[in-house]
Amino acid sequence: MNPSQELVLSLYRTMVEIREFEMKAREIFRSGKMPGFIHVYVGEEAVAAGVCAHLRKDDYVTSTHRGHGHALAKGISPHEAMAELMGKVGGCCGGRGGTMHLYEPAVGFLGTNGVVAPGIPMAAGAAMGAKLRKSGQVTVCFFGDGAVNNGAFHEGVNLAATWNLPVVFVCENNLYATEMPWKKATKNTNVASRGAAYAIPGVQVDGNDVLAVYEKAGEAIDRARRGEGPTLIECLTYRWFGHHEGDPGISYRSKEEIEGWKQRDPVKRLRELALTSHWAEAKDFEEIDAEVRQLIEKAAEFAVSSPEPEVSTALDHVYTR
Amino acid sequence: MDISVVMPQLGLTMTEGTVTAWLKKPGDKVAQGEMLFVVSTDKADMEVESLTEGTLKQIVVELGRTVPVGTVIAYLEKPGGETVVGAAPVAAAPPPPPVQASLEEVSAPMPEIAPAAAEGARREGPPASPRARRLARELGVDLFTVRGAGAGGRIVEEDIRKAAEGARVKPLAPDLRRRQLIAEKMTKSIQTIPHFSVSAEVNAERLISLHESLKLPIEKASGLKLTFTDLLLKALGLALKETPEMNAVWEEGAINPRDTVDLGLAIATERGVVAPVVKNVDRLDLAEITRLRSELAEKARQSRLSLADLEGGVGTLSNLGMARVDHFQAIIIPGQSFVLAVGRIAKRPWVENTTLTVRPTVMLTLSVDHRVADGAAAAQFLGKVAEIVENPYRILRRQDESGSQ
Amino acid sequence: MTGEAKAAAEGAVSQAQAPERIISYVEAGIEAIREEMRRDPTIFYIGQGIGPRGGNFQQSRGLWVEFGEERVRDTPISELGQTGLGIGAAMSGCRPIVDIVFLDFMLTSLDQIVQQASTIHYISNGKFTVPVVIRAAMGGARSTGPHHSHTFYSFFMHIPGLKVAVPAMPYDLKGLMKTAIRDDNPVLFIEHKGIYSTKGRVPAEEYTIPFGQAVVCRPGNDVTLVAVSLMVLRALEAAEILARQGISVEVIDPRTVAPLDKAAILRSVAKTGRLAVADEAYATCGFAAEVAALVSEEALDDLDAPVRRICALPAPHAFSPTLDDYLRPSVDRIVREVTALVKS
Repeated sequence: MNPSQELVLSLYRTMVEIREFEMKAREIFRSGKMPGFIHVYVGEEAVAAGVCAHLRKDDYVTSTHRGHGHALAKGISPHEAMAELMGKVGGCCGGRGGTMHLYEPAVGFLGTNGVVAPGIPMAAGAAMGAKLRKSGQVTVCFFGDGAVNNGAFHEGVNLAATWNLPVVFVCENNLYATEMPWKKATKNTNVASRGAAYAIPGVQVDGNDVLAVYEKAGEAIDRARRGEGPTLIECLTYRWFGHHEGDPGISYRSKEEIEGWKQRDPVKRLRELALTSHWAEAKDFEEIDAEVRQLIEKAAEFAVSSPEPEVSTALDHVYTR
Repeated sequence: MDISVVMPQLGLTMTEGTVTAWLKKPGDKVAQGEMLFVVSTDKADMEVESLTEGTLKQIVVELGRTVPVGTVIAYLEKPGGETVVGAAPVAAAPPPPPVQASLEEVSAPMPEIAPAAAEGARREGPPASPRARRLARELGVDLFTVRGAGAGGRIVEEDIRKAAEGARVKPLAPDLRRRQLIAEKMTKSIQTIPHFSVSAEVNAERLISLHESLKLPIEKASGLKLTFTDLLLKALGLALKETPEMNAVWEEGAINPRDTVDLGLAIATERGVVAPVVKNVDRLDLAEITRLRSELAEKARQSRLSLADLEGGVGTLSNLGMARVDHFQAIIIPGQSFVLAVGRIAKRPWVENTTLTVRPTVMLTLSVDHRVADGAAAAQFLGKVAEIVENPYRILRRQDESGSQ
Repeated sequence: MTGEAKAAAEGAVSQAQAPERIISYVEAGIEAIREEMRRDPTIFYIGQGIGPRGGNFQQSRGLWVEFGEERVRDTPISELGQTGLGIGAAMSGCRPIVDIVFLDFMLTSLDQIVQQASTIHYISNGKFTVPVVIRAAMGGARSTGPHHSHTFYSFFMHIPGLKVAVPAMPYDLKGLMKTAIRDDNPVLFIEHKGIYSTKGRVPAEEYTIPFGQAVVCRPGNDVTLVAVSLMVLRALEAAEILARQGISVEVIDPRTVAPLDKAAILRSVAKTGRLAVADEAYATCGFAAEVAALVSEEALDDLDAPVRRICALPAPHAFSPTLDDYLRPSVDRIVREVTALVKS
């Protein structure tokens, strides 16, 4: 693949934004100022960046409990995302949703989700809506290896396949569903191969190679947009940290394994490849680093200083109209 | 801690009583000695005071229900004190020589508790549906006077409506219990006492002049108005003193003489007739009689007569002279021997020597218990009364002068 | 009179003289959906067997023929998937009708209904709406048995963010279905399989019925009888019998239980003082319990007797018709319970 400088830097920027955001979120969480608990995406940035680079503003995305990366990549501002994580009024959901319930119709973001797998049939539904409207919108459905053995996966993918809906199913297989190793959760450890069960293409890709993800995702999204139906993409990746902040992630994983995957840091890999391939220069990356760092600082300030919601609004929006 | 309030022993013969009114409601504070409720007995209604200080907590026997002496009828909450089981409260005057049995009865009260209390309920009063309670409040119906027709004796809306209806139809409903008592007493009297009557028409001229001359002084002295009843009572008392064989009652198969001259006075009240007793009539002067008569009449009207007020009379004076009654026969009160029925003073034809003239006369009719006295004795007694009425200045004699004649 | 005025007058006269149509409960539902689907192209209808077959209860007959595969589509047996799909589609701007057919099978959809549909509008701070109608038939009919007879519509009453309609009459079904489809909130539309063939007067012209509006099907003075769905019909029968015994029963059909027309119930209880609730669901934690609680909270002083719940006895739905009839409130049981209530 021979990407343009623009694409490389754009992909880099998205990944760095996610990385910085997540690290900052961890910092705020550890300071005790963040309610609930967060599941950070650090290590998996290439998937969100590579897939969402293809999406229009009005394309749809359904996400998971580990969805900050998807949210940022799809276009929710770090300010509103961070404020939402802190349960503040300035958050994209006014503090009512928090980390696992980020919603933004303006960018087609149909929500991170506190439940594993319901987003899969919902994504099929959004795709059906697009098909009925003939709008050309595509829906991307992110989920983890943990969702693949759930009934909702089967039902959602089957419906999408049977009805030929414009949806791309992206499995982020980071080898662990909470503490359950993938190998122990299923006999068929090849997620991509499950596509065949629904007679849709199943593609496996190195989830830490953003350009590879970009390429495969692009193919699938185009297929969907052309009306050729869904694709199942399995991105092989890894999370550096525990399942959630507070889980060290080492009671069920070895330090060697973690170190091994850290060596394959997608952000570093793109930067190094770009430099050696002369797709961009060091200062380009440094500029982006600095700019993003500042952006995230501002986002954190915004979130911390944003007020709590008024209790007088507690019963608003239970019903509409 | 709770104090039991029991149905008190209010007289020698009392075995059961009925609470006809509560003078306090649950939640009210009650001082020691303050009147708490009204009991209706075989003799009369009387107010009963609280023996201790406390707050009326719960009424457990509903109004109108007759219970044996000693039954717990309510609970008082003693202000932070110990549990005290109330002994029988004492009426205004010292009780007659107590019978041991009655004290024993009282000290071991029989807990005949109404269903509501038996459930250990904290509720006040009879069970009633919320709708019924609200309606009772609105219509001013006392829940205690309503019988519940609902499940488990619950008072429901219809019961309240009927009660309110009933109240409207009979605005001056006489006290049912009082009438029952009178009915019982008078029936018993007629059934057990062999009555006969003697009557005399008496010239009341001199009685009238005596009354005229004494009116002002008595009023000045006591602030009260002298009535003919007062004069007649004194006359009857004197006559009885002079006819000692009439001063006796038939009791347990024998004539029992009395050693004091105690006479009852029939007083009509809204809720029926009562006959409080004036004691030692022979020894009282007119001013005292007037005062006593007035006091008893007031008490009678307010249902505040004590048992002592009602006990002990040998005969009763019943004066219907204020009405258009010339003469009548009264019924002897059980436990007594005679009753003197007095009609109105009116101008009637009167023969003096052989001349027909007009004089104010009054008809006296004496009904007597034949077991105590025969016709002759009765006639003699009535004759004495007639004599005194026709020559009433003897009434003015001082008490130590009214010795035997 | 001008030509215009004359035509208008004639039109008015012919309207007034138009014969009232009598159609079946099931037909009323189809009419409502058909009218709405003609009006609004964003409506589509999915469910098992609702396409060419026209639905297990014929509840979608004719729709596939008129609107085609794109908008009226059979699904595989995947209630969770169907419901999730409906919710996702609703979020993306459609107005889907998801037919689960038997209320019992909504249990597999519960995660989507409760966790997703009911919460999204609130937790997105009002940014997303979920205008989905989830339709099913509840109740027992001819020994439908333990897996096909459930009546747990109160589960959904319990969850804020959901609306629940439970029409008993064809007239109400049509008006409420149209309202449900037009409503931007997720609606559980629960019909009763035992009354699909009952008939009633339904106007030909368009009308809607608002949610939260009960109807007094039969006015009375001695006792208030609130009933739902099939029980409304049984309550009316019972009321007729009770009238001959001198007991005047006021029958109230709430038509929707979320929102619930509390005021109508309270008004009636203020009048009669006695309240019974006839519900085919169980008494514990059900609709009847909710009515009893709210009346005791808001109108205790109007009650002349405790509230009586006339409900299914607490056992699974037996197959044997004898047991089934016994377990569910019959007209006879309603009569007995109401009589006892009046005498208490």
